[in-house]
Amino acid sequence: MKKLFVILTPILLIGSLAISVLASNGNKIGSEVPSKETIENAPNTITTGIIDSSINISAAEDSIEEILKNPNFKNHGYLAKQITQSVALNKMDTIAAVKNIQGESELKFAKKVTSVLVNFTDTETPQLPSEIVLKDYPVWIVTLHGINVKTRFGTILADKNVIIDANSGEEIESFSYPSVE
Amino acid sequence: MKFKMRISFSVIVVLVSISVIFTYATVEYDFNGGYISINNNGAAGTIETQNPYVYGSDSDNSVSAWVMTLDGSTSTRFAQAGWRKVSTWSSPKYFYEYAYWDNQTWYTKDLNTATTGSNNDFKVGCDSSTMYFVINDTSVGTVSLSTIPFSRNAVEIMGETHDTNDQCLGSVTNPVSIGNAQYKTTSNSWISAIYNKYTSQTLSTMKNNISVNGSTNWEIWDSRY
Repeated sequence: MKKLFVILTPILLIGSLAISVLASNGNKIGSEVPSKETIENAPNTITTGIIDSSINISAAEDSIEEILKNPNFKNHGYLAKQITQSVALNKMDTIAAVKNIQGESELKFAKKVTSVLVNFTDTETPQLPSEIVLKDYPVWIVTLHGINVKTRFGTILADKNVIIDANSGEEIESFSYPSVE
Repeated sequence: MKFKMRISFSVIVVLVSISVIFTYATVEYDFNGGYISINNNGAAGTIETQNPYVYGSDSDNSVSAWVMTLDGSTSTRFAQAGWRKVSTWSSPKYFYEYAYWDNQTWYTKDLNTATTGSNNDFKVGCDSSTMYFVINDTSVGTVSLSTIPFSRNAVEIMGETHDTNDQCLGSVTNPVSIGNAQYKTTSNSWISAIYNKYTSQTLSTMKNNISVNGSTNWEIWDSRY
């Protein structure tokens, strides 16, 4: 009986701690992220020297239609037009900038990351405190589709748009609304 | 033998209890500041920006300070403006956010970096048709009241955290200053207002110096810092 106890006690201890750690992760608000398997099996995933291969970036150039799929973009007064001038930042530099600004985890947890080079107009906040006027302004719109965002009433699935100055690489603003996919 | 068995089981029970308590104590929403339960058309105040510690490396965790008008009967109907810092950011940014989740409306926007140590005026207020989000007297966003048609029966000016390890928001020696607390009456006049004290029921390290009779200016801090 005593031997049985010597064996069982550490097993029970380790088991209970393991259960609590698992419970902790399961209970954590915002833990409902897509599995690594889902991310890795997603189509068009590419690998670069800068970006982690588990980030699901579409290989092809994304079209403006990609961001217009979510009607909230237009509903909030954002306009995107095909760009005509050349800019300093390419797509992968932009993604790397977003990774630095937002954190790699957010990019990894996104179901899909798209980036579109456009002339951007923000009719809602045309004049930023930074004095940039967002009217036909050349930007990369990097959209993190299907990320978990904590709100006052719990975690919701959202699309986050990070607006990056296409020449300076600075983040201009970001906005999020519920995902529709 | 029986005594040893009891001791062993006691140790297991205690360890399991501690781990369960730890599990459920780490993740929670906590608030620290002032409120008024009153029908209103908006809330306003001046809030000092600081750069608090935000727990974790996941970008879904954040700490914020804001003014808000809301339906106090639920957490799903509100409009707020202030500053926030996400755990992956090096410094906080201005933001505004609103929700009327009854119709799946939720929207948030982060603007440029809010300078640490600066005092900034935040305001959310409406006329008969539109809610305005104003930072330092500049309107940074609007939304139609038909999109967020909630009953505005409370105003709040608070700090908010999502994890017990987050710093909310200042420190003992450098608390976050909040002042010029106001609300907009239903007859559309902005008036100076006495906000009632609110502190977290579960996180005793959240402190503020709102008096028992309420205050128009106050400080909030985290006693661990």
